[in-house]
Amino acid sequence: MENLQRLKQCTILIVDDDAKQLDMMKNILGNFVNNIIIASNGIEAIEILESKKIHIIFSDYVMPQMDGLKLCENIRNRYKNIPIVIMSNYSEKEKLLNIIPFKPSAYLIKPISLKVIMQTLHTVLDEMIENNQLSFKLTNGLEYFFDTKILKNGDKDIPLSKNELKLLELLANNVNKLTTNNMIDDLFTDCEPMSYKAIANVIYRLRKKIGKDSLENQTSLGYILKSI
Amino acid sequence: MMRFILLILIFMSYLFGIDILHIEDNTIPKTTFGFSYFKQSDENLSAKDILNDSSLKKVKKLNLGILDKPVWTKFTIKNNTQKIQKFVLFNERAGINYIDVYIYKDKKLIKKHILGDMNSQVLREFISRYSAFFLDLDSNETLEVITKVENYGVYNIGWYIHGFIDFFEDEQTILFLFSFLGGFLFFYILFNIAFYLISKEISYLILSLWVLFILIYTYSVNGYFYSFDIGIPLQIISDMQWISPIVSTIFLILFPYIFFDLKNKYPKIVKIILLIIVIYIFIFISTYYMIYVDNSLFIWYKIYSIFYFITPIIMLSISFYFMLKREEFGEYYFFGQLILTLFNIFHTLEILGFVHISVYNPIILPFAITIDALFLFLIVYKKSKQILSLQQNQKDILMEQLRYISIGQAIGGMVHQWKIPLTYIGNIVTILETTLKFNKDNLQKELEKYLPELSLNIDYMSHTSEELLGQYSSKSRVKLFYPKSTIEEYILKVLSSKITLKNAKIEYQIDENIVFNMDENIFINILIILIDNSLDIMDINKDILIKIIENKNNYIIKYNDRCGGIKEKPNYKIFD
Repeated sequence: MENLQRLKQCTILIVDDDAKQLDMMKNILGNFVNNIIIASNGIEAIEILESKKIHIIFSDYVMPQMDGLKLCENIRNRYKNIPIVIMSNYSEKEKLLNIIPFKPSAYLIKPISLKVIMQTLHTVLDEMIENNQLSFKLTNGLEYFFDTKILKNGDKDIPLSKNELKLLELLANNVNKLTTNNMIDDLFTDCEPMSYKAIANVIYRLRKKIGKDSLENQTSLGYILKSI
Repeated sequence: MMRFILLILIFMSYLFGIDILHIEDNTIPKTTFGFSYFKQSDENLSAKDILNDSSLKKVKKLNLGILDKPVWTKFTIKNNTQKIQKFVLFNERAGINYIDVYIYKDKKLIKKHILGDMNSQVLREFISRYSAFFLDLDSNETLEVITKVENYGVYNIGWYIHGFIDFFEDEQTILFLFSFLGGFLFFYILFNIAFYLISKEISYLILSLWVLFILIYTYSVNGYFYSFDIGIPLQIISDMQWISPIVSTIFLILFPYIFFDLKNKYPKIVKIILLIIVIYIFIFISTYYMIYVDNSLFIWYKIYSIFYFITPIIMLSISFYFMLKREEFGEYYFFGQLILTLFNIFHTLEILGFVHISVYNPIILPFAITIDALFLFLIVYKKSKQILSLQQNQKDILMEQLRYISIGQAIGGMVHQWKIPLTYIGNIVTILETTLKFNKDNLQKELEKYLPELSLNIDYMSHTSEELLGQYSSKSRVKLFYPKSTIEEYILKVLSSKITLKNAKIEYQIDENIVFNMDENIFINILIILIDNSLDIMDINKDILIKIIENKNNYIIKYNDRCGGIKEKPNYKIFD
């Protein structure tokens, strides 16, 4: 349980066509994570994935419109490492074999006991740690923890402001990839309008804290957060 | 010793020829044999010619066999006693076509009798199965009797001389025996036909037809059909004597062919049997030809007699072969055949004139037939009983299989119906467990929320199991039910998982007022298996159509899954 605390800040997406089932799973998983999002089919799930940062997916297998298998395939095409847990009413070999190429973290047969849920969450956690999904190291040795939203230099915490944290999360989601200026603008102008100068200020201060080498400026395009 | 001397005396008298039958106080001759003279000729002779004919030969053989000429006989009888003697004279062979009897006294015709089975009963002094007449002799009276016998086969030209009372007493006894055996065999025929109708075992039918024709034969050849005077045309009675033994023999030969399934087991014997049957069919046709077209051909009938003689021996050999081959019931068949063959040989020899025992001869053949018929009935009965119990077993097994398949389906259906509530219940347990472990404060709230849900799901599960498996708690019960609601409320529920999976549409056009009176389980089982098989082979999104159509006294269930139907070959496997 102590370890599972590290998942607390994660967001779980539950996909199931049965509303009662959704409600119950939400109740159960709600004890382990703070944020739970639900979707009643695969298409809805894909839409949510595109708009929100999701850490773990629990999906039913048999669903109308887009079943668990299709959903898995779709997710794997875009997100290589996101843990997917498939839940099914049937322990059918064929289904199990079909889904293996899309590397689910676990294949659970309903009804799912607490023990199994905890085991699964442990597996998922181990996987996320291995894939640096809970934290990642920057080129200069700093480490950022998603779950606790803390930036550490060895044992020392580096305090970050709210806006700096917001920006870092955005960059972290695109590690080693270009985060465009537009994306950054959108992030800050989303809730309340912010001046271009203020945004530049946030970027400046963050670069100062995490090191210029770790956050590379791509002239007039955007920035790349560099991880080992 | 006395008998021996008597025999010598008779032999002596036969050798030295006493040509007048003397009636003495203590010796009354039993037959005219040894005292009668004959002539066979197709010239247009009259009784008067015979009376004065000196070229007559002494009769040495009563049975002249197949003959194409009429035979004239003459004997003289004298009453040496002081009393009036009353006799009945009869030709022991019933069924001779024409016999004319002329009685002369002092060369004057005093009486003429028109006998023979082709002459009407009205012309006779009294009705008897034999050609018979009364002969009264006054004291010291001498009469000359001239007879003319005309038949396809002249089997007897002699006359039995019986006392008036003796004759009718003997006839009573024989009639009683005939009626007894006849009645028995008649019931035997009815019995076999009934058994055939019940079991569809052709052997029963063959047996009944065989016995029927044998019965016709014995009753016609012994003159009963004639003496009963029940309006059967005389020609037909006469034909029966010739035709019925041929037909009955064909059935007797057919019996082992059908009963022992020779076709598959003994192809060589089949060839022999078919050959014999072909010969008999030829005999049948040619005999008809002889009777109706050309009487003169009857001279060839002797050859057929050889077949009558040989056939039982061949059949006996075949039955012996079956016994050696340890064919089931082979020993019974052999035993029955043995008895029949011995009596048949005896009968044939008697007809041909080689042996002669007594007036009771005619009863021997029906007696033998009765014994053989009983043996044959016994083996057919045993065999068909075996088959019936085998069929019943198979039927029971099939019904049991049907039941198990449907129980399997019902369990499958139940498991499917249980999936969701089981998941819910499992989830609720997990929720409560989680709450207890990590969120104790909320336990009360969660319990209140989920306990009703828990009991609701358990209720549903118990109801489902009762509904689906309760059907099989009782073995079978014929009752009234509405097929439409049975389909809706039971069959489709059991199969719901598969129907959903295939996204199949089950359409049914059934009048909701139709009521069936049968074992509902059988109806359910059959439909479940049909639909299940269709669903197995169907592509998704297809439909199945079930219709119940009223048809006079029953209903027709039409089932169409549009899957190309069942191939002709395995259609008996539908319910495997």
